[in-house]
Amino acid sequence: MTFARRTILKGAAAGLGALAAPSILRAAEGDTLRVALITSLSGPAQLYGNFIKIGTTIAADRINAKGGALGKKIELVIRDDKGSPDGAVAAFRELAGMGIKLVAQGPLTAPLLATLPLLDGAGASMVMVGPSSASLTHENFNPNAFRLGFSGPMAYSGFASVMARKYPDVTRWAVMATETDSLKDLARQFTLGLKREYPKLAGKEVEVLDPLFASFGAADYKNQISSLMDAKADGLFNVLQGADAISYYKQARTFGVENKYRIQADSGNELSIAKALGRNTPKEIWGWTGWYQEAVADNPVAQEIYKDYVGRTKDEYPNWFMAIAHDSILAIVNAAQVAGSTDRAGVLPAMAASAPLGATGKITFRKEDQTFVGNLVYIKFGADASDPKGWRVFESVVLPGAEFVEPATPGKKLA
Amino acid sequence: MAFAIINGLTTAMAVFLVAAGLTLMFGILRVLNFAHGAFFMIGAYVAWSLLGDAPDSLAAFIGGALGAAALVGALGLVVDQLVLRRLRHVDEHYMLIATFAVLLICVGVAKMIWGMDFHSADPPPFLDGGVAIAGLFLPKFSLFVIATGFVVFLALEIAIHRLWLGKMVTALAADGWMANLLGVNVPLGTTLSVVASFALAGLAGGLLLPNQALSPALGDTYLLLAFTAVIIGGLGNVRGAFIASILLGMIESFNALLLPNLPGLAVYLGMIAFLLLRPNGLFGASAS
Repeated sequence: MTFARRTILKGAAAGLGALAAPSILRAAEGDTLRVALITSLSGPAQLYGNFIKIGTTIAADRINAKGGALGKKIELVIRDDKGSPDGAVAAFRELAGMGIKLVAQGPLTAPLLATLPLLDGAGASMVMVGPSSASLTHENFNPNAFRLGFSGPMAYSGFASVMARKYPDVTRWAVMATETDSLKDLARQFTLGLKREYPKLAGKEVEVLDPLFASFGAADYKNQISSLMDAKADGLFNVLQGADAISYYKQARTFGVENKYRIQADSGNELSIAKALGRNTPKEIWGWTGWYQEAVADNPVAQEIYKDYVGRTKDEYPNWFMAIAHDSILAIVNAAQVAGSTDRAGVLPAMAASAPLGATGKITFRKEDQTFVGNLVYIKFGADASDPKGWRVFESVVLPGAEFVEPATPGKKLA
Repeated sequence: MAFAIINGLTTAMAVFLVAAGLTLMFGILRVLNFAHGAFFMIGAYVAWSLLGDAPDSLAAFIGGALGAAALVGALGLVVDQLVLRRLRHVDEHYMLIATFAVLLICVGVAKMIWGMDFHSADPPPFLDGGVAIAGLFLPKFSLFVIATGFVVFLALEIAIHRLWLGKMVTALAADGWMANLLGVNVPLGTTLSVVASFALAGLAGGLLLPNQALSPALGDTYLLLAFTAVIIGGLGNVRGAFIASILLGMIESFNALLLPNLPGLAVYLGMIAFLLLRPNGLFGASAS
């Protein structure tokens, strides 16, 4: 009797498969409560995915320290969507195959749009971690998913309101933006907000100049900066993000943009600007952020999570995705605990009805479209030679998100 | 208008600094090195690691850039021994795939060493701020980039067309088999060219460090324009890459001035038009 190598390999593979199968079955009904996280651990959103990963890990550890949920310890099963819809779908199918019913996914919109239609067939409930696209709770609304993040209209209406309150005399605004649809939309939302909030709060009409655009990933912004120096405006809204924004601020400093404009508003880079630029951070920037620990100093959960984060990473300035990710796991596990099972027939109503205290405050969703209506946070920061870092946060403003959230139109595009 | 011209020239020289190594590599190996941008990025990180956030003098800054060039050149030697040399005699598509793999490895290693956070470095004090010339405000660092681009171009011109080493490399690029018959040490010449190409990427990374944010994605910043310059200039031709870089810099700059709502569009239109008119580029596909 002879054995071909291929025959032996086939036999070994079959044997291993047979051995593995019971463990997969056990996993679905095992000693732990499995919660899935699908996020970007590679690709363009890896930086944010890393913050999400650590936030969810902190949440799972905190829940486990208190005894877990449904009588079991939480086990996070983390998969990388690679920043792509295909990667997200592959990850979701694998996790669904493992019998996992509680899913957290974010922050990118495109991978979410790919997996949302799969929730129904998998019998899963989802919390969307941090996406800002309005479409997720409007024309692409899915009753099996809750958005724990800030829609663009909500965040930038609130931002405009802060500007109108703090700088009622700054009525001419210039806009610097990357020429991508999503960022152009942020500029539009901020502009709409200015035109609504200034008459209401400052009693003045506001003029917003045509935006100046740069390519995504551009190396040079000096032509646009030169135009900004000639613009007849005293407020400047920056809608460049990530490395583009840092490069822009570096080049703008040479021209003295910070001296020309009374105030610069930044769309979403928050403290990554100051962390990169140090003492060369502009004198004053207002920025939107989803969470800032000192703005919620009276929230004990926020403070505990912040300490936990700093202890793990030695980084004193976490990105807001860390806190949102923590709250996402807390919200969905709490809902399962309230419902008494991971069955979505119980989890979804429990998500809508309960409001556990998280890092962002009471985690509440609007019933009609299941979008988060928590607090909005804005911070003013800038260069400070007296600080060893070369910069510091000067003040923060917290606004109730429910006052700025756009109208609910689940299943229909926002007008 | 005058500012757009100066800024176009700044962009042009920045692009040329990146394109120089790229076109040199193609001239010798007939390979478009996809990993070139990654080594540009590594050069910037190395210079930042050597200099910190604030280089205290022009000499230190240039020293840091030369240090980056030396280290990235040494990495080029490693890549040549481990990858390029082994694939030199197989179909060129394998080389393209291999350099793409090297790119992915470089980005991954950079993330492991330097992390994902954005960083930034200042120009040295001598190059910080701007000067007013005829009522025009010009950043000193832009003028430095323009000067550096010309210096590097002239140095390459002299090295390739006047020095014995350059002539040897030109000979083996034109016909390696014949050069070998005539006693030229082809493997040595090829390796030296590869190391020079990588060192140029590292030098560009170090010199352009203060111009933009430092992140693992930095390699993408100039690479597309550099590839375009190499293609328009005529693959493998340093002189062509230099002139094409100037053309692209001007197109890019005037695009921002005349078509502000369509940034970056004119470069692509220009490349398409140029390739239709001169499919072999400005200086054909001859080696430099």
